This record gives sequence, structure tokens and C-alpha cells, in this order.
Amino acid sequence: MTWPRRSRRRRWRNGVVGALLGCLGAACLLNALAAAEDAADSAPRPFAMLSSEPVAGPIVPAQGRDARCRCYTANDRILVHRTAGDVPVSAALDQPSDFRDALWLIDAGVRGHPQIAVWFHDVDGLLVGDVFQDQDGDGDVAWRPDGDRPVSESAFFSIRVVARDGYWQRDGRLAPNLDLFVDDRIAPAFNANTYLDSMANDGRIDATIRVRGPRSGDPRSFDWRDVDPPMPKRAGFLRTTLTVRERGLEPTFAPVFPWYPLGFSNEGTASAVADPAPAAVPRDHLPIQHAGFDRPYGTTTPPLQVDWDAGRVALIGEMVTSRWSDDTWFTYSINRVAADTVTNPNFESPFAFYDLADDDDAVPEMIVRAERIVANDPTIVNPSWVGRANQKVRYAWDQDNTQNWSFKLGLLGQHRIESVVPFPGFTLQTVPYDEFPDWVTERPWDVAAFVAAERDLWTSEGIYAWDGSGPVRDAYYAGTSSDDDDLFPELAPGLRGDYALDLGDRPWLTFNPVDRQLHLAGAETGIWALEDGGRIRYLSSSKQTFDGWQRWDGGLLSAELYRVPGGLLYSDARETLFRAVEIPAELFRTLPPTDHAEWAALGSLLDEHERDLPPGDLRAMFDAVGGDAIRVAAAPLSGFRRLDGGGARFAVSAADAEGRGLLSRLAGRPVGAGMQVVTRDGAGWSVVAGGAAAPSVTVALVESPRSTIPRALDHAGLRVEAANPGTLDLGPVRLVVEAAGPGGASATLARRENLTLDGEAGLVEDLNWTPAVPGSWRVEARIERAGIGVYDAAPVVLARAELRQEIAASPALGIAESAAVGWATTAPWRLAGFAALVLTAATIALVAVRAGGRTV
Amino acid sequence: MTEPRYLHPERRWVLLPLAFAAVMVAAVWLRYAGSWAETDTVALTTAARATGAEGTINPSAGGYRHGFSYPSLIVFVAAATGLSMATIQVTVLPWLLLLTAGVAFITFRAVLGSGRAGAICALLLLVQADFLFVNLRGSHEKVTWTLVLMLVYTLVASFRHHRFAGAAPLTIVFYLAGFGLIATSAFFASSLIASFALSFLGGLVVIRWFPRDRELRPFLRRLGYVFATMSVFSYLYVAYLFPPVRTSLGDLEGVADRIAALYLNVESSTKSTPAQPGGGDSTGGATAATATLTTAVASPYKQVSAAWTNTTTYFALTGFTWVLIAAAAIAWLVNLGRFFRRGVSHGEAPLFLVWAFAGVTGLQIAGAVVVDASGALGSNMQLRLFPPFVLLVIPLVVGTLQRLRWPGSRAGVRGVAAGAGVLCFAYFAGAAYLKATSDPVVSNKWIGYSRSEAVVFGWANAHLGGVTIWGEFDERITTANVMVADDRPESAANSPIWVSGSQVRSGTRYVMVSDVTTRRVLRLGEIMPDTGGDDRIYDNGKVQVTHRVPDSPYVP
Repeated sequence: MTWPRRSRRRRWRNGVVGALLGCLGAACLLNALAAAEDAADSAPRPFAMLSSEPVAGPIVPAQGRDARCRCYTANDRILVHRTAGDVPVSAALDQPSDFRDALWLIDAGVRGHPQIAVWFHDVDGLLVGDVFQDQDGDGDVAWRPDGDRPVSESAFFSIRVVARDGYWQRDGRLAPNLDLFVDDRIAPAFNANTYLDSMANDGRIDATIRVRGPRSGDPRSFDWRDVDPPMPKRAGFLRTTLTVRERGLEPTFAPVFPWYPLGFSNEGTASAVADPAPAAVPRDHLPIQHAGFDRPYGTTTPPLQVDWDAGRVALIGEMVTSRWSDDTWFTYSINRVAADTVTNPNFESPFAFYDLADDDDAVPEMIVRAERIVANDPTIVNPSWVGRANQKVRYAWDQDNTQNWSFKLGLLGQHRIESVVPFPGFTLQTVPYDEFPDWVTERPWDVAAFVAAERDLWTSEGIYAWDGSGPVRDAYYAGTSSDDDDLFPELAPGLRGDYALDLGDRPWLTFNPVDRQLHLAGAETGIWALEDGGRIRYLSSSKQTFDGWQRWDGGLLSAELYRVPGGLLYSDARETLFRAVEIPAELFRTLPPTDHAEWAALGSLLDEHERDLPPGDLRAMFDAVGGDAIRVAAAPLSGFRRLDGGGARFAVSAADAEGRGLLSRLAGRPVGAGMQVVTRDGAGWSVVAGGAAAPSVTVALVESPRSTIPRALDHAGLRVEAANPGTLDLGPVRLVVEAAGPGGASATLARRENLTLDGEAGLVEDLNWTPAVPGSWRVEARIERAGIGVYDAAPVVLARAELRQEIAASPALGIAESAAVGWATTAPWRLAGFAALVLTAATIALVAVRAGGRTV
Repeated sequence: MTEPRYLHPERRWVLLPLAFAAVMVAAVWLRYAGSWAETDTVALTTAARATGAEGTINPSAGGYRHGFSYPSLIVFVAAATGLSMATIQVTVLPWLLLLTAGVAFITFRAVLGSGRAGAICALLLLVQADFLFVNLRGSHEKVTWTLVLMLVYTLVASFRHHRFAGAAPLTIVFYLAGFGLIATSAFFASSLIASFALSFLGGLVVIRWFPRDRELRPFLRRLGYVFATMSVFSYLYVAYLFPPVRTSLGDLEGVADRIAALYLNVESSTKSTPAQPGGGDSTGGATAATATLTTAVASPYKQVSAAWTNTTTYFALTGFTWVLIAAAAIAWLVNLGRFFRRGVSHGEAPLFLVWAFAGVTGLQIAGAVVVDASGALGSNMQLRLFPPFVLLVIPLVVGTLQRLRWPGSRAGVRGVAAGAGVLCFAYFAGAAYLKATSDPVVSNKWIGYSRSEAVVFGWANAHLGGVTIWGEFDERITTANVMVADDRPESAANSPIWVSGSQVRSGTRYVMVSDVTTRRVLRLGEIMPDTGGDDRIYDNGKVQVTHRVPDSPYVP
């Protein structure tokens, strides 16, 4: 029987489709298997024992073990000898007895000699592991089977680990309560490079580490490191680092060695000698765990990180994480946190990480950091802060939970921190973790900066830009400088920032209805560094919300946008437009989120009000507000300025008929050619012809209460006033004030570049002048056009004023007055010593000449 | 056998230099009643305090890195008397000038063979202003030059003994004094050792070309031993006994600086210039037309013209020095001719020794001047060789005059000459006094401070701990503060930081102005800081302390 033709075709078709689907499925399966294998390959794997042979004990008769494992390399050797007792060492090296009264000699890569030795024994009833490493650069840890100490490499341990719980590890975790004592050139804490060279294996403990786990009534665990190397008392280094997990346990980790605390390091080590023995470690394909003080979120590693090439412990990693979780905080203090006292830490305390998204993914969505100067801090060399405390706060959060920072506040203030956070054995005078966000948002701050990331940005510590560092805090905020120019440096592309040097309020945030962005309420200005290289400059006339935007490209103004009475004004190179629309000052105002609910609420508000406007496109912002738009001018505006009473004025060109027509319609009457000054206020529009006029300048001496006639070397005041009588702004111009006196004496008292003299306005400059010599002086004030003349390269002077002033001589210091300086005695005795000396000298000389006759 | 004439015990002549020294010390003390301070005095006082506080000749901070004996001496006297170290420096130890005068007398008497000549030399030494200044201030040099004189004496005296038994005690004293000199200032000592070496080499040349001067051979042999032994002492001291010297040498960056420090007796200057660079409050950019001390001095020679009211005054004060230099040059050449023609007799060996040392020291001075002027010295080194030059050329000049055959002259001429000499000596004494005290009548570099200013230091310690206070244009106030402080190390723990400079830097928020400051403005042509807008927080009638109003509203 043959199949009908139609069925045959169908079968062929089905077969082909089936084959294709089968191939596709097989490919998917293979890919999945490969991915799984890759994932498996990238995941840290615990050690694996390869073999374990019994060996006779050289120290005591109890049997030891010569074990091979895949620990750091594919083939490592762990030789374990019993040092006391008669319990044989187990084959798998996994019995509690294997970590007591035993000497472990670890030879990574089976190089023929151990690089690390660990002697487990009891000290004062506590289980102790003394770690020894190479000291003489031969790559070997010398040991001996006799004597009280089985290791002869050094008289002192490099690290002593004390198992306060009586055991080392359990269920994939280290024991929660450990003490470590460091006596070698090993980085015991963060930022150890400042004192590492002073550490040595000399019998003097350089660092003490106390790790404590949760206990009854206190879910916290902490890692308290007290660093005490032989450094000068006033040296500035972190004497205490404290990391705290508020709740939960540290993650488990894949142990590298049967003794869990022992691991490996990817970072360089400090060799005990200048030329350590060359490494010859055949390393396996084992994945390299991320080590040092950095780590992936939610992970941990064995703390004793050994550089097996050099055979030395590089550093002691965190046993309670600092940054790599979302319910932790830490304190880094230059002041030592002492036992059984209340310590006011300086530098960072607290530096806290929060799970704002409440997703428990170990990645923080908020960081809050306080950098503190405490009153009378001996480590602070800035005399402006002597006796006074201040805090510099960084408050950053990830609004979208995408592991990208969204916003950050940088705050400066002088608040008292009197709350205490007790721990077993010590107490910190700091803000408690749970209260910290509210502590920040509930207080007024003096100086504030707000930064928003308009691109992907992630660091382990929030957004660093505009933290309020350097001259912001130590010059302006400290009161030693009133220069507020350029206090905040340029932002990297993709960041925008607002700041207020005189906030005096809580850190409110306001959402602007025009640019549809969150800003700092009360900001005086801001910038947005666009990723295309342009810049947006934010302007505020109310010092509450932004009402002006300028786009700059390549140093040139390319577009402007302003709120004016009744609407928005837009201008670019081609035209000036007005859109009549009533816009509220802000769409909402909020404090930064302090918990999940507030964070979610802010997210909802942002979702509701944000618009997907092209970055930096002021025209799009202008068009997005709605309302009717009219064309004010066929040219860009210039000299925009706000008027008292809320209005605004600017100038536009009416050079052609189109321009004149537009302005005529605006003004309701014919407008002539040339520059026109347009005013918009509550009454509507007005247009007047713009007139340029030469500026004027005057200079006058300010009378001093000390004397009517100024004297040489005395301080005198000068007032310079410049005026622009025209209706059009004049600029850029330069103001120069120079003084010339007798004998070639001269001084430049002021030189201000890139000034703009507003139309029908002016400026006043008060200067301090100290004439150096008496006589006739001539003070000249000039308004010059920016640049130089094309014919003679000389400045083009627009206005000039001169002041001729006689300067009296300073009184001279007479001989009698000079002679009176420093005398402790009264007038009749002033010359007594001198006179007596001269008379005595004369008498003695006479005796010498006359006595003894002619010959000598 | 009568004793040689040069050993005639004309001890009564010692009373002249001793009496003069006593009156000089008293007169100098009376000028300021102890209320004065200068940089070397402060440095050695600080070193003594550190030594006393830590109980070690090598304190961890603040020690004098060239030698330990002078700070140790201060500590000893303080422990014995209970006086403060500052008081010991300004009131007690200046009386060591009498010891110096006495040692100078016996040295010069041994060299010249006459008590009267010795007294005249000692008196002339005491009116040499530079020598007087370094001996009266709180510097180790009052001990250093006394030890150098002791070295010269023991060397000369030992030559007179032909038997070991006689020379041995003097030789021992010589080497003890030599070690004492090294322990006081290693660099001064190394320069002197260089002098020994150069003298030795020069002497070898002389006896090679002038065989009749064979009597110099044992003398030169002795110089060779001295050079070798002192070199060993110096090496042991620098390498093992007192490591800070090595550190100090290592701090000098250039080879020229190090060589100069070791062999030309130059030191890094303790600047008398502003502690801070200019900047800070605006003065309107005015140019000071008068010379001031505020210019950073690139050469010690420029400092000369800036430190005195005018150049004429300077030359008037230093007239004796110029006369001495001229006379020394003539005397040296005269003796060169004599030694060349007639050789060196046995009795002239001491004079030859002085002549040789003077020549070598003169060469060192010339070398230091040339090197300094060439700019090879990078760290503003100052020449310290002049005092030893002076104490060698004075006996050379007097000894040369001794040996001249003066033609007979009438009594009237002799009387006029004697009178002129008396007047000149009286003038030189007054000039030396004015220069050594830096009297404000002639000096722009004032070292005295008033009681009103001293009171402020205590108030500032109590109320302005840790802050920075501007205290005048140079180190007058900053050094005075150190001298007024007590010796306890904890007293400086939270004291204010005193700074100086021609302008008040923006980070300095407190300013002290006294009546003395006002006078200094007039003398120096400096610009007084504008405190018109400041808050006056202290006023005792003669001294005001103001607080600069902060430029921003966040600090009080």
C-alpha cells in the first residue's frame, strides 16, 4: 500500500520541521549545559582532599597525616603532626581534634617546603592557632620536632587566632567569635599602607582584631580592629576600624583549605626580605576568588589572605563586611576606640548601607556617610576648626533599584552628636544605624549640594562628586575665604548638580515643572554636564526653584529658557519665542527617602511627573509645557535680566522688517529699527528703543575715622563707581584701578575682567589702598573694552577717572623712641649700662697702655 | 735658672679682660633685663627642654643635631639651680664670657709670651662685635670658642715642653677639649680639623723648601697627630656616638652643601625672614618702597644692609672689624716675609702656629664666600668662620706689633697715641655693645620684647590653644613666645601657633599688634595689618589681639 501523495508531502514537511526543531532543541540543550558548566566553573569551589597517608609523628608518637588536596592549586600538600596527646590525625582533616595540639605545614604546589605553618594549641584554656610564615626570604618556614615550640622560623607568631567558641568552623562558616593578634608586616585593616612599613615580627602586637557574632538580645555582629603600630602619636592613620552587621550572619563561603580561616590573596604582599625566593607555584584552573578588602556583594572569603607565591599573608580580610551588604555600617576612626570607654570617633562614622528597596539582595540602595571633625581633634591641622566640630554628609540612593546611583546630597553642618551606640567592650559616640537617615533629613544644613546621575553610575560608596570637600569646607565654610567662585568643580559628563552655599534648612528636594527634574530646594545655581559635551546652567532668581536655563556649547550660549510673568521665554540663534502658560513653581517637594515606603513613594512621584525629554534640549522643554506660543523676535535675545517686582527685560534686534513687525505686534505700535529693549511684567509687554551710551566711572577716597589725611603705610579706602546710562547692557568690559606715586611707586588696586555693565545700572567697588611712600599720588580708574585695539594693541578705554591725593609721611621713629624700645628700666637708668661700659673700657685701655711701661 | 721671660707670671693682667667682660655682660643684660630672644637661642633652649624632658642626649624631637654638650650643660645648670632654661640662657650662661676672657688671656699670653700682650689681645677680642654677639647669645658658641682657645693654648704650651712628662697632661687636656668641641658642634670641629690638616700640609711645604726650619718638624709631626686623632674622634662621633649629626648632613641635598658644612663652617641659616610667604589679605598691591626684612634673603650679605638703619651705621659699628682685617692681612704678609727670609725660630713657633691657622682660616672664609657667591650652596648657608678667624688674627697682629722696632718718639707723641688708643677702644666697646645687642637705635632686627607682650603669651596659651596667631613681621614674637614658655613639655601641647610674615595669611584668624609693632612699622616701612574690621578680644593697653571676622557666616 502506498501513501497517498498528499500524505507523503505532509510527512516530508513534518519530518523536515521536526528535524529542524530537533536541531534547535539540541542546540538549546547544549547551550544550557555549557552555561551551567560555565556557571559552575565561575563559582568558587571548596577544597577537595585527594589523598591522605598516615605518617609517624616526629614530635610525639601519635600518628600524623601527609595529605594532598586541591586547595589553592591542583595539588597542595598539608602535613599535619601531632604536637601533644596521642589522638591520631584524621584522614580528612575534618575532626575537631585535628585543630588542637597539632602542627599544620602547608606547601601550596608541593614545592618541597611549607610556606605557612599553623600551630594549634591551648593558651590559658583557649584554643589558639599561631600562624608562622617565612621571615628570612628562603620561602620556607623552618620547624623542628623538639623543644617547646615546633616552629623555629621565628620566636614570635605572625598571627595568633583565638577561637573563643572553642571551635574554628561549622556549617560552612567561621566561628562567630574570634580574636586575632597580628605581629608582622601584614595589612590588618583598611588603608594599612600608611603604617605597614613600621610593622615587624618582633614580639610587639601591631594590631588586635575582635570578631563577635550575634548574642542574646543583640542581633549585631561586628569586627573591631585596633591598630597600634610603632608610629608617632600624632600620625594620622586609621587606628580603629569597626564593621557592623545589624542583623543576620555573614554569608557562607567555599573554604579553600580544611582550616577555614586560611585563604589566598590576589594582591601583592609585603615580603619579609627584599628578594624573596622566586615562586614556582603551578596553579590550577581554580577560579580566582575576588579578595582583598573588595568583594562581590553578598559574598565573603577566608580572612587570612595568603600570597602563596611569596609564602606570606598579605592581609586579613573583613570577617564582617563593611560595604558589601545592605544592612551594615562601619566606622573608620583616627582616634582610637578604646575599650571600656565612650569614644567620639573622627573621620567616617557612621558609613551606613541600607536596603531601601527591601529586596534583601545584599546590594544597598542607599548609603549615608558622615565624615566628622570632632572638637579639638588633634589630627586636624586646619586651625579654622580648632575647638569646633563639623560633619560632611554624603546621602546617596538608587531610586530605580538597578544598581546605579540616582541621586546624592552632599551636606555640611555643625551639629552635636551626643547619642551613643554601645558594644560589648566599648561604646561609640555616634548616630545609631537605624536613626541615621532621619538624623540627616530632620536637621538643617548650612551648605548643600545635590547631584543627579543621568547615566549609569555605580561605586561601592555612592556618588563622590560635590561632596563638599576641599575649599568648600576648609576655606569657605571655615570662614577663611569669602571667595565662592569655582568652589564646586566641573562635573563629569552625565551628572548634574545644584548647590546652595547658604541653605540653612532641611535638605528639601523640589520637582521642577519645566525641566521635569528633581532639584535641591533653595539652590542658588546648578549645572548639568551633558554627555554630548554641552552644559546646562540652571539659574534661580528666587533662591528656591530654578527659573532659568542656559545651554552652552563650546563656550558659546546656544539657547536660553526663562520663566517670565505669564509664561516661558525661549531664545536661540534664530528666534525668540514666548509661550503663555501658567506654571506652578514646583510640582512636589519632598525630603530624601529614609525608608522603603518613602523611597517607593518618591519613585511613584517621579514616574508620574518625569518626562522623557531629550537631554539638554531647552526647546523641547519649552514645547512640552503646552499653551500658545508667539514669536517675539526673529533673532536671539541678549542681556536678559530680572527686574525688581518680578518682571524681566532683554534686548533683541529689529534690524529687518520681519523683526520690526514682530515687535510692533508685541508693543501694539510701530517699532523702529535697531536694538529694542523688551520688558515683560505683570502689565504685559513694553518695547522701547535700545540706546547704547558710554559708561562713566568715578573714584573717590573714603574718609577714615583715624585720620583725615591718609598717611603712607596706612590703610585707606577707595570707592569706584561705574555707571551705564544706556538702556542696552555693555559688556564684556574690564575695570582697572591703578595708583602711581613718587619715585616710581605703583600699585594695581583692582583688575576685574569680563564684567557686564547692565543698562541703566552700574556697579560699586570698594577697594583697600595702602600707599607705600608719602607724596603726591595719582589713582586712575578705567573702564576698558575687553580685548585690545586692533591698531596699536593698547586697551580701548571707554571711561576714565582720576584722583590726585597727597599722602602724608608716616611719623619717623626718633632715636630717643628707638632707645626706649625694650627697656625694662626707667628713664634715668636707660643709659647707665652703656655709660658704665664705655667708661670702663676707657679706664681699662688706659691701664693697659700706661702700666707695664713701653715694652710688652 | 730663671724662667724664660714668656713664662713670667703676670697674672694680674688677667684682671683687665675679666673686669671688662663682667661689665660687658652686665651692660648687655641691663639693656633688656633678660627680655630678648633670637633664633639660635630659641633653638638651643628648645633642644635643652627636649633633652631634659626625655632624659637623653638624643631626644626624639627638638634636639640640636650637631652636638649634645651645650643642651646638656643647660639641663645640668637647670637641675642644679632650679632656674628655668630660658633664664639660664639669657641671664646665667652669658657670664661664661668671663671664662672665655680668662682662657683667651692665658692662650694669648702663651702665644705672645707677655701678660700685657695677652690682656690686650683678650680685650680686643671682647670688642670684636661678631665674636661678642655669638658669645652673649644663647648659642653653643660661647663654649665652642672657649674650647678652641683651650686647644690653641694646650697645643702651644705643650710645644714648650721637650719631655713627655711635661707635655703629657697638656696633650690629654688638648684631646679632651677637642672631643668636647666635637661634642658641642661637630661641624665647627670638622672645620677646625680641616684647618689642622691644611696647616700641616702647608708646614710640610715650608720645611721642604726651607730646610733651615727643621725645628718645625716636631711641631708639624704633632699637627699630623692632632689631625689624625681628631679625625678619628670626629668619625666615631658622627658615625656612632651621635647619629643625628649624620642625619643633619644627609639632609643637605647637594655635595657642595655637605662639603661646605664639613669644612667651610657654614650652616643652614635660621632665617630672619618671614615665616610665611606673602599672600593673604589684600594691601591693595602697594609696593613697599623702603627696604624691609621681609624679602626672602638669598645671600647673608644682602641681609647686612637690611638689618641696620643704614650702611653708614653698619660700617660705623663694624669699624674695628675692618681695621682688624686690614691689619691682619698686613701682619700675615709681614710674617710671611720674615719667615721666608729668616725662618722660624724656636721661640716663634707659637706665632707661626697662629700665623698658619690664620692663613688657613682666611682661605676657608675666602673659599666659602666664593662658593656662596657662585650659587653652589643651595640651602642658604651662613658663614660661621669669622669668630675663629678673629681669635687667630688678633694675636697675630699684636704679636707682629710686638716685634716691630718702634723708633723712639717724644713723650707728647706717645701720649697722643695712647689717648687715641684709649678713645678708639672705648668707641669700639660701645659699638660692639650696640651691635651685639641689636639695639633698636642702630638695628632693624629687634630682639627685645616688652613685658606687655610677654603677658599676652600666657593669656594666649590659656584662651587660644591650637589657633594660629600672627605676631609681627619676623621672628621677634615667635622666638619670644618660646623663651617665655616654661620648660614643661605639656605646656606646649595645646599652645597657639605663632606665625610671622609681611602679610597675614587668610588661614590666620588672630592678629597681635603691640606698641613695639607700631614702631617697627615706622622703622621697617612695613604695612601694618588692617585690623579695623576685626573683633578686639584682648587689650592690655600696649598690646591688642584681634580676631578676624570670618568671611562666611558659619563660624564665630
